Amino acid sequence: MNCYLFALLTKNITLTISDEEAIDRYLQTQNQSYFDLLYSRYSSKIFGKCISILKDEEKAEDATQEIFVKILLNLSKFSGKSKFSTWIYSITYNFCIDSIRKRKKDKSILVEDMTNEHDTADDGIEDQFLLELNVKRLKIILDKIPITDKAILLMKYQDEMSIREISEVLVKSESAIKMKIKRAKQKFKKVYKENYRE
Amino acid sequence: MSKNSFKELAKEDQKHFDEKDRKIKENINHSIGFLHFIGDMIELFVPRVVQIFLGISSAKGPKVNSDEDEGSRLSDVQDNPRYPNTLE
Repeated sequence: MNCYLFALLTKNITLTISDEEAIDRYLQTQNQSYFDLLYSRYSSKIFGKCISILKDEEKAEDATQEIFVKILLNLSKFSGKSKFSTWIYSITYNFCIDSIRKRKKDKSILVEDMTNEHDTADDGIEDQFLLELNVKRLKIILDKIPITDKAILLMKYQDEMSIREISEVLVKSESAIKMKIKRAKQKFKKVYKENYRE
Repeated sequence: MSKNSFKELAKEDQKHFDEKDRKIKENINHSIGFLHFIGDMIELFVPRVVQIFLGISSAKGPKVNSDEDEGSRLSDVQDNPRYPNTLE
């Protein structure tokens, strides 16, 4: 009975602690339950992102696994400057983009930085257009644009990351990120128009 | 609450996770177990290897440098015959 109460109490405590506290306690005690807590909070989200970018369940499964091992090995390097979610999403996005680069040697990724650098006009694409789009259409268009554009749109609209957070993830300046978002939206709109003439 | 099709897409992408959850967790635990094992092995054997290496290097050192020791060892050999039980 006492053991049951203790387990229940421990479970409740672990459910209420923040990510940062869980990391601290894991690093101090090496108690697996703290890592399990982080896993239960983020595993489905990471898997969802992997499947969205890699477009293959098996690969997403392997990637999720590798990403968590990577997170575990680098947990002591998490400085707490950004949110934990931002940190693990940065590992996820970079891992997925790197694995696609290795797999396909996607030319769009390699040449992307060289195109339209001087284009500074307003994109004129309302966020509302993207946010209220039919999910099936959104998925189709996201799969047709370059992977880095897709990732940046997911960071902004799905994870609701700020420009500063995205700049930390992609290791670019905030102005470069604003430009990248603008270009990603333009590409999205262009592909949308090509597919659905509206 | 305003619509966000990106969030709906995320939910859709996460739909199949429950089927995979157990397998992924098991594989992560295996990887962690393996890494712990490697860590334990390193912790156990690296200090010994370093000790052995230091032992070898310190044992070699005096032999090369000290002439006095060499001399005294030669005199020991002269005093004590090489095969003490043989008749000369």
